[in-house]
Amino acid sequence: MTRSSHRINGRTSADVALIYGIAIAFVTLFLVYPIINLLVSSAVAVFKSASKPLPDHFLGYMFKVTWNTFYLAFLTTFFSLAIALPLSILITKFKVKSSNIWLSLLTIPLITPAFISSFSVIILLGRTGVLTKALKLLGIQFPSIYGLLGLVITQTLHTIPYSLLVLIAGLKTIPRHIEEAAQSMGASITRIIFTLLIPSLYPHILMAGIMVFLTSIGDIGGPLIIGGNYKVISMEIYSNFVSYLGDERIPLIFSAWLILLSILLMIGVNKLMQLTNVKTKFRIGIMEYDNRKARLLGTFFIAIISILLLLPYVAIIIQSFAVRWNNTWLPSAFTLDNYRKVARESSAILKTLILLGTVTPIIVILGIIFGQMYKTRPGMRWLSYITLLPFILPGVVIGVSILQGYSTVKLFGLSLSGSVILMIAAIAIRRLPIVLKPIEAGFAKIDIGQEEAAVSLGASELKAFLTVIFPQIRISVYSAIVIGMVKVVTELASSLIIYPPGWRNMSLYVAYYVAEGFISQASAMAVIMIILVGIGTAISNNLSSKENKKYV
Amino acid sequence: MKSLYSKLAALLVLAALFAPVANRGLLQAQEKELVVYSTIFAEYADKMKAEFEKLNPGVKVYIINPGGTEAMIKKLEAEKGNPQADVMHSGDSSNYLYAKKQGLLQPYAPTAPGFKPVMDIGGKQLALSDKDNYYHVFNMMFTGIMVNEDVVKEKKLPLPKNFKDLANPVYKGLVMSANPLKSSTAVTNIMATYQMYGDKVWEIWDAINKNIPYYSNSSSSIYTLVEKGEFAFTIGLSRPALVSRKNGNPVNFIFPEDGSMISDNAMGIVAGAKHPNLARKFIDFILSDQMQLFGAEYLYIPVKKGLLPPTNPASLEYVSSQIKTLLLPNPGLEERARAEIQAKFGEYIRQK
Repeated sequence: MTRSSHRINGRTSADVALIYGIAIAFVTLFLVYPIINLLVSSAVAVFKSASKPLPDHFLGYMFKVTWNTFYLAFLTTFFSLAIALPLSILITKFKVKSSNIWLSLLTIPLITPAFISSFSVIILLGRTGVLTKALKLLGIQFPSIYGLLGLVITQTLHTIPYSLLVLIAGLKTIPRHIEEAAQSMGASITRIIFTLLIPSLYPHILMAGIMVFLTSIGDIGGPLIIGGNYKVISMEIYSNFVSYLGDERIPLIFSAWLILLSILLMIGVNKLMQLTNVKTKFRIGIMEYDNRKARLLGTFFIAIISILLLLPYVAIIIQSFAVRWNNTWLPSAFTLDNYRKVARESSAILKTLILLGTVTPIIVILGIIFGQMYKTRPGMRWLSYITLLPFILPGVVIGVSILQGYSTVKLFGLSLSGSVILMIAAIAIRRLPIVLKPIEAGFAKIDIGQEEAAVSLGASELKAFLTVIFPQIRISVYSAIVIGMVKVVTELASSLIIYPPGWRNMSLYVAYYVAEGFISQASAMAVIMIILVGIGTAISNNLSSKENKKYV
Repeated sequence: MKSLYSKLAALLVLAALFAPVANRGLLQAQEKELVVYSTIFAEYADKMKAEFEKLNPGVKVYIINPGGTEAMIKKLEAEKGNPQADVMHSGDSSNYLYAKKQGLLQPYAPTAPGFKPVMDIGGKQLALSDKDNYYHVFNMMFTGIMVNEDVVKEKKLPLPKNFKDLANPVYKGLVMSANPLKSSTAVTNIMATYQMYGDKVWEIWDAINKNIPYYSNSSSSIYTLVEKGEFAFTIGLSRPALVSRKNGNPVNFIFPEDGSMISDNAMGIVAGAKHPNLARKFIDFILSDQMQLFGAEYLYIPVKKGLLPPTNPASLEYVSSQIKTLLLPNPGLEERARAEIQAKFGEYIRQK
């Protein structure tokens, strides 16, 4: 059967066309148009003052910054995957004790605003950090974290949960019968892992890798707080864009350069994805191994890793009760005042919940639509370069572009720029790639022939999708919902620019407190955020595991 | 009869007197909210919201902090076609000069009692209002060096007395500064050295630059980093440093003997503001004795003389007594120096 034959006479039915149309319109309205508008208007401004030469050695500088960006992204991706891959296998395959608890704990870094994570790394590993002091007692001088080292540590910490969620979702889609067959033929567990599990996991490893890589490229919080002199593209764009004396041409050049690089990167990734296209046709639950040694080792390994990874977050909790915590092992005095102050801002929690409730459904549904579109219509895959752009463009640029594009637009007599609609659109656009990636990974494993069969038997494409395809990607959708929720709550860079009167949410409060130097209050707000999102993820995880059991 | 006439006349005069007020009241009745973009710290922001709402029942004040003065200007520029804000508040006057040139502001002459557009400081005249009344200064700070006394003791460092002492190689890696390309606070400090050293300014900065490990893109974190003891010094402003000291941190602020410049905090009404009457009222409110005194609690120096006793640490008299060489901002000089600062610090930063 050829690719296009499942669509009746190669045509897309009206309902599907309408759904695609809405999704494409959303992206065009809130991403393509604003960005082009911004690029064009700044290009005009630049050419008007083209007489001024660019700074000396600018090209060399640009390449240095580009190299820095990719080197950091590579290191972060490597460490993130190197830690998350064994962890994910242990968790899903070896019945590791209380793995659910560890798993929920390990998602904490994902929930924590980058600003706070970076500060917690300073509390632990800065020049006067608690761990730095401890190591000094042992005669070890920990190097300065202001630069590459600090960035790798912070970004790895931050991205492990991404990788873990995507990889676990992937492992849950590997049907047990393959492993059973291998085992019955006498293959050892190690052999099964290396020759069977990991190869079947390639699409997810690749997906997780891309997500981590791009997260690193787009990260602002880390470079802002502990980047030191290690200059990366996102920071060059941000600091010259929102600047006092910055050269207005620099963010434009770097933005265009970043867009070009990411397109090249995506072409390469797509080629790789085609090579790793694994198809599984059945869903009959996953294989788990009863190996005492592996389970003990796994429990030990996951405990050690989790504790190490969670140390900065323990620091955040301690800080949230601190009056002051400078240059000492523990804060000099403890207080509940930070929580009292934060509790007064209860509207922030409400605003966060409202944004969560509106943006998450939008991006998950858009994610499913685009995922399905890219899977069934290879001709539309060029769009994936566009839907991925917000991942790497600094959030400030997205915020300003939407604000500028729509500041004068009125909808039913109401000015858009004063309403929360633009804030919702900006967060949705910025977080769409994050939910799209795991959903795409889910689609990657599906044989589209099933849908084609359903359609040729007379079902509409929509019906075939809902009844045949959707149940198979449900696990990926759940992990997308979890990641999406978390990233919606923690979105900062675009919100900061675009939030309308009365819409300061928790993550804006955290940034505000950090900027004011109220690290303790910021920590208290972050702790409440972590608890709130933690409850949300726990519920989703619970739902997804119940869902999962249906197939066992 | 006569008395009736005089009563009538008095009534008429009274009516004439109140007519504009009544008229204004009517206009204001239509203005039910005020949107202020401000980068001032949280407690001050909360206070100005609460107090202004108390003084104007039925009015709701929204204070929006886009995360730094530079981001605030970006937001105002992006919204130029349909302004959302009524007042732009806080950040030094050079930002407001820029905003004025971009057509982001509209003029208003404050009527707050006791506020004068020019202030005499030790015989020098400090302009508090823009000459066309587009913006007004509502409080002041000073440039200089924040120091972590614990780190200085631990490393047995000499205390810098002058700004140029920061060039001493013993401070290598210990001096923090915000990125001047991004932060106007950093530029204010550089402008102070411009006034102190004229043509020789770059010799001094070449040496200080060697001691600065990196220029922070987060203008606000420089104070926190010194507070934590990560760095011994930061080039910055007096208020955040002294507030940190007040909160019990082992830090202090050095007013360099070779010069400390006033860093002003300004505000203005946004061009095309949707609630211009409330915006005007707000400007006068911020310049009122009440808000000036409230700012002083957080060590903002009031712009009205005689409001505080000279012994108060937030009074201009007290602070001036600690300063050997007081410098006033010179917007004209800054305008000329802009390109040079951009080129020089661009180079410093690229080479690090």
